Amino acid sequence: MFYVAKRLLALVVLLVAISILVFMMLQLIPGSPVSALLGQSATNPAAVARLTQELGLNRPLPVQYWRWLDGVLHGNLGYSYQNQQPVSALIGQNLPSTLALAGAGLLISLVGGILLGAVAATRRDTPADSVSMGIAMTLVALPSFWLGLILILVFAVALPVFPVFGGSGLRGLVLPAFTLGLGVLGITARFVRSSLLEVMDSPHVVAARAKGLNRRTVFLKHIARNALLPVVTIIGLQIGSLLSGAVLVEMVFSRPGIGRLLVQSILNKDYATVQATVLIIAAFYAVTNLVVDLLYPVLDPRIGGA
Amino acid sequence: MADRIGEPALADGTLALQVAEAGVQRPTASRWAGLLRQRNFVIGVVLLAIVVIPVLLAPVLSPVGPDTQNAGATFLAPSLSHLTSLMGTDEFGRSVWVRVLYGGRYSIGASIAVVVLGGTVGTALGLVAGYLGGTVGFLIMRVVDLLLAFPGILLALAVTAILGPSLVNAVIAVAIVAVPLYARIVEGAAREIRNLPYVRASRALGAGPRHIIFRHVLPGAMPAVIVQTTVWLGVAVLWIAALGFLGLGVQPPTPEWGQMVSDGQASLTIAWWIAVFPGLFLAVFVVGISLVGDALRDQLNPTAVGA
Repeated sequence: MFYVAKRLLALVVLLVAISILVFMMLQLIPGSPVSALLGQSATNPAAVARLTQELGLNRPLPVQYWRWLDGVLHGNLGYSYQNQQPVSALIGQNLPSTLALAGAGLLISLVGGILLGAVAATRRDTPADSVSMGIAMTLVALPSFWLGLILILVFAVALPVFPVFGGSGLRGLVLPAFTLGLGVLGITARFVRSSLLEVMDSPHVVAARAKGLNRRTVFLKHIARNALLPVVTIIGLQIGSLLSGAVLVEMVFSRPGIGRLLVQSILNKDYATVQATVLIIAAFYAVTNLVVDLLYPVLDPRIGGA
Repeated sequence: MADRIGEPALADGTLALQVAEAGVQRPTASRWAGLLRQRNFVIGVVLLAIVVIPVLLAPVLSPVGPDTQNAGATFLAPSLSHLTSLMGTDEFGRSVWVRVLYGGRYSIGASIAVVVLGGTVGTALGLVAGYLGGTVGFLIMRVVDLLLAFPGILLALAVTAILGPSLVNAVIAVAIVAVPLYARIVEGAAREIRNLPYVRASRALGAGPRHIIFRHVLPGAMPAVIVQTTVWLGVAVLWIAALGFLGLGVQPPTPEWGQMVSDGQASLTIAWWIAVFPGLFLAVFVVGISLVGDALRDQLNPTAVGA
């Protein structure tokens, strides 16, 4: 219980630090925050005066931060002058699509990674092992934006199975999800292989084999069960890769989402949206990592309250 | 265990791989594994050579300039008849082959700049934090932790949002992502080496911190730094290209692999070669670097010191 409390406290500290960094972003941009936020509308003196008043820019920095944070905690993420919409609305429209993409990508990477890792581990030091690990390494190394285009060429242009760009619903999700998932799959496969090999060498497996159990039973009941548990821990790491990957995949497939929103607002100098998206993604990442961490001792009682 | 796994440092795939590999304790290093390692290293070097040699020889291998346009020869399909159209031509009739070669100079050059910049700053911070410790060390490591809490590309994107899109700013942005990773590795190594008997002996003999850092701590941390640098050359080239692809790195008409892929995306259905070839060079380069990096990691085994 003490452990959980400690981790929760650490999360709060981290979130505060992230929010300070994100708040400071606007201060670091050349020119005044008001003109950065207003963009084109900065030529209107009335708008400048109003926003200066609203942000309390004539007050000290800590006060400004506090007012900003207070707004954020009440769901006010600022106003996007370029889009003529509150940023929270923009994020609300784009978030579900990114979550669907990341979720599907995670599923593909887990299923594929476990299969590939298991093939490699059960055939350790054979050509099948090197081929599997070669595939895993290549998938990690391939630029996802390029892989996406190749998948489009093959499965949308040469064999018109899936829509080239965009496309809604499940059919439109397939190619983007595979692009995203394949990149992460390689990492999972290598992790699964190491984890399986470690368990395969442990005494209880030798004992199970000595009892004369068949290979299948030994693998499923004695090896896989123990070895696949640690795979949960890399889901935390993968969320980072998936979020990073989603930015590129959404751009390749012109798919709405948080990543595309972020890139477009950087290109349009829509700083209110940039700030809010960075904050949301970083906070989401921090929270999911903690959840995965706290979940692990629950799943594997050997870890206990560490 | 749970604490180690909780480190957000592992956000990035390469580090996850290092952890994955570190988990394997082979009971016997079989001959086959040794040969395999050697073979992977050779394949990696060959792949790198395939990409890097033509890129270095770009002026020799280019019949035309990277920006030379030819209105009469747009969207030519790849053909072996002439070197200019070996990889086809783009919408301005520019040679994709020539642009891929010159683009490699920007992509690879920029990633070297990233590891030099990020590696130097990160190593310096890690040495200070790990050797001197104290309040300064504590503060450095807390900033490192904070930077590591952002998924890598998010941090790079935030930095480019502040600095504006350009090649130099993309290098700075990716280097900023690399700094905390170097700092953490070096800090761990430095803290451990600081208390080794021969270092304590050196201190007892009156050696100052400068002497100890440069004579004992830095060489001890070097294997980890070298492995990190090899891995990061591959990561950096991917990220520089990613920023280029997003329009946040190199600006047209300067050729750079990522930016070229993005250029070719518009005409993907009518001229696949414009996007495919720069990406292929990028992919071969990164696979080559990964193979070499893996072999180096096994050889230098930095986990023996750092972990």
